[in-house]
Amino acid sequence: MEDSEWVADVLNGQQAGFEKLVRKYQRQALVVSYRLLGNHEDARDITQDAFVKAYRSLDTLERPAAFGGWLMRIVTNLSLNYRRGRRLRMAQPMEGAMADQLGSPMAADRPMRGHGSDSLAQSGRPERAVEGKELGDALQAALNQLPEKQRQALVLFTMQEMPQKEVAQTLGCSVEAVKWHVFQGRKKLRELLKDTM
Amino acid sequence: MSQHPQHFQADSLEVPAHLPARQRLEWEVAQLADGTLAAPRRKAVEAALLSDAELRSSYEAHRRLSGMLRKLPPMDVDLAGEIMRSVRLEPAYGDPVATAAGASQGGASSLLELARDWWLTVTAAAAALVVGVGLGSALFNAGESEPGIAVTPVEHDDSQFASTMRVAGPGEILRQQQASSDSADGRRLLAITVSGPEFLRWADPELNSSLPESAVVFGGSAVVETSRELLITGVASP
Repeated sequence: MEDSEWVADVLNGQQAGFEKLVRKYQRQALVVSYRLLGNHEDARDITQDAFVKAYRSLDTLERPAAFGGWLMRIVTNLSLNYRRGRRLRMAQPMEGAMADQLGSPMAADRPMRGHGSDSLAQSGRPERAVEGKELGDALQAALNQLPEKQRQALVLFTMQEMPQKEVAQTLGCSVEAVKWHVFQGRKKLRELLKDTM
Repeated sequence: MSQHPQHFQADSLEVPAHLPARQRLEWEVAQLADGTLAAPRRKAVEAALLSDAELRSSYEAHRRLSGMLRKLPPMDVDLAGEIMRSVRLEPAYGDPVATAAGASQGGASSLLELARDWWLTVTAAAAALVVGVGLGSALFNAGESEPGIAVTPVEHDDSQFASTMRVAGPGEILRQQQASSDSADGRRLLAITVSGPEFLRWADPELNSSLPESAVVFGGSAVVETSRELLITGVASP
């Protein structure tokens, strides 16, 4: 069955149709959120929230066949909002200590090393993670080393295959900036993962 | 080099002016790998790739990294149960009864229990009365036997009830409703098992506020008939 049929089932009162959509997309949603947040627990919460929000708004979905892409945009928006909130929560108690960094124009792009990330990512050394770890873990560790905008642009454009214009709207920057972030992000990833590629 | 990903919509490329020539070329190679390089530049960059091993390596690296990012890592996590538990708390689409129930869950469940208790009391009293009447009748009419339970046809919305209802089957079958009959002799019992919202509607005090209008008894069972519905409160083996 297609997504559109399951969506139709749900809109006809059969909640079981939604479980099929959940089973189909839960992994992708979880991975997208994890790539953006770098933390499994947060990604799980966001994924659950995203599915519930999707259920509540299902009757507003104009093209039921495009459920997957629509859901991923919900996951993305929730993840980015969560990340922004987390950054604010982190910034408040450290206001004084971070004042110098915040003065820098590049401060917003600095990676949040060691905050809200899994232990693997917190090592700060992707090459270490490669030892005995899956390539996916190494990739995530490397992603966590990237400036935030670069990571977000890479995940949305490359992983989610979101059009650049849409990435630009989501991140609140120009299309050229998205291209630049993707280019720079991949260049850095290449350096960080040179031993594994 | 002619096979580029087709899923990205190509945007016109504006190369940052401050980039040195070599970096511009690398930037364009990345665009080529993504399939977003503007058409006029494609042939030139592809030609450069053919003659430059370092650029080819860069192109391949971009492709590999994109592939790695797109590849979903194995995750042995099943969130479906947790998600569906939350979803089931939400009102179902297209179900006004469930929606109403969802809107006032606590109140609705206690109302349901009250209605059920009320109805059980009424039917138990009616059944006791009917059984008493039946016993008296059986004592008076000893020797006469009925093949089934004769009831008066009852109109209920669009359903047409059978003129004769035949009760068969072992054990206690509680709370069934005769809905229709399509057999020639009208002796077929089509019963609807009552549950959930249907039960709530059945036991609605507004509908069942009067005492049963008539009742008959067969064996240990009692049939309670009102102007709105026909209930079998208990059925024993014939």
